[in-house]
Amino acid sequence: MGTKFNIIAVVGTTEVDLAPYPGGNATVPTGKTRNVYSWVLSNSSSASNTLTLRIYRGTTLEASIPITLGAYDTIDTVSDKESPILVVPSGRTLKAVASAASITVLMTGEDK
Amino acid sequence: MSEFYDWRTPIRALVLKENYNAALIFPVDVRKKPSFELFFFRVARASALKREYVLPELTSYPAAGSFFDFTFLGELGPGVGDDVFTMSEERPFRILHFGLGVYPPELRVYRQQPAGYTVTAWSRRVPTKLGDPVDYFTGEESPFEEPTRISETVMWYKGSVNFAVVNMAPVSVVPKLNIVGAGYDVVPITDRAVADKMVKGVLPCRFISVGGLAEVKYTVPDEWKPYVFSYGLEDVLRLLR
Repeated sequence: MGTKFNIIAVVGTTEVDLAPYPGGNATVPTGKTRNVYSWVLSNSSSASNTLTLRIYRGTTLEASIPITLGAYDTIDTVSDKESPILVVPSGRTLKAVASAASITVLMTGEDK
Repeated sequence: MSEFYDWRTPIRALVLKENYNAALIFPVDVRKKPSFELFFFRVARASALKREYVLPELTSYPAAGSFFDFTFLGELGPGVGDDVFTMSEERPFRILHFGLGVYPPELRVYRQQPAGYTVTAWSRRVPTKLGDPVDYFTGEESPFEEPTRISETVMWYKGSVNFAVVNMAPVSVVPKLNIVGAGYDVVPITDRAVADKMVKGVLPCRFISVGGLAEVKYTVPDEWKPYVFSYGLEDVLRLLR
């Protein structure tokens, strides 16, 4: 069993790393997969906004996941340990960018 | 059914303790007049053996890059660097006894011991080819966290073992092997009468057949050679009661 952690970020129009808090690395360690079991995504803007999660291998973009939120919208999704919402493979880096003003991201995860 | 023959018995239940007896069985001839060479040992010290071996990423079978062909597990990757099972010549009476936990569950692991001879349950010519639908174990049978008997392996100075892996998972994975077991410092049993009692079942002993009953070339340390005992088929059959 791995150590559970949070990923906390306020994402704007500049791409940011989504790293475990505190002091974690956005790149998944070799031989592990990063499992995200829950997230809260909150759009603080008065217009709809798109959060794009990106999975990189080095500098290569492997996957891109756009999630659109309405004005002042909040999405919270919780899953059980056997079925994570997001699985980031070994050696990949999880990043995020928003189409407009900031989106608050809170995730819980575990490297296994 | 004896738990020794249950393939899903956890390897931790099979690891020997101090003062237990063990014997390695090497078939010399299995066709005309079956005969076997046995080496008997007593475990003087048992220490835990634990290592996670991470392999480079493999794509999903049958794409290119979905497997590693038979080679040793090197410190720097498959076939690269020193073999992780290297045994030092200063300790010829050391035996490693371990199982391999496999991640992900779909990963197939083929084993050759000694190197070049596939460990087979089927009656095929060895070595089998990588990707054969037989003669492998998976992470279903030997889970990463709890390696089982199906992956049971012994190593000794001058022994050799090679592995091949194929990723049958639907996605690219970074395969991992969890090497769990014990390293034994052993003392050889030099008295034929004591060995006979073990073969007859009077004294307890764990017999480990290395590579099954195929005629293959084994190498053992020179230090072991004075203590080899030969037995015929009838004697060895008694072990199978």
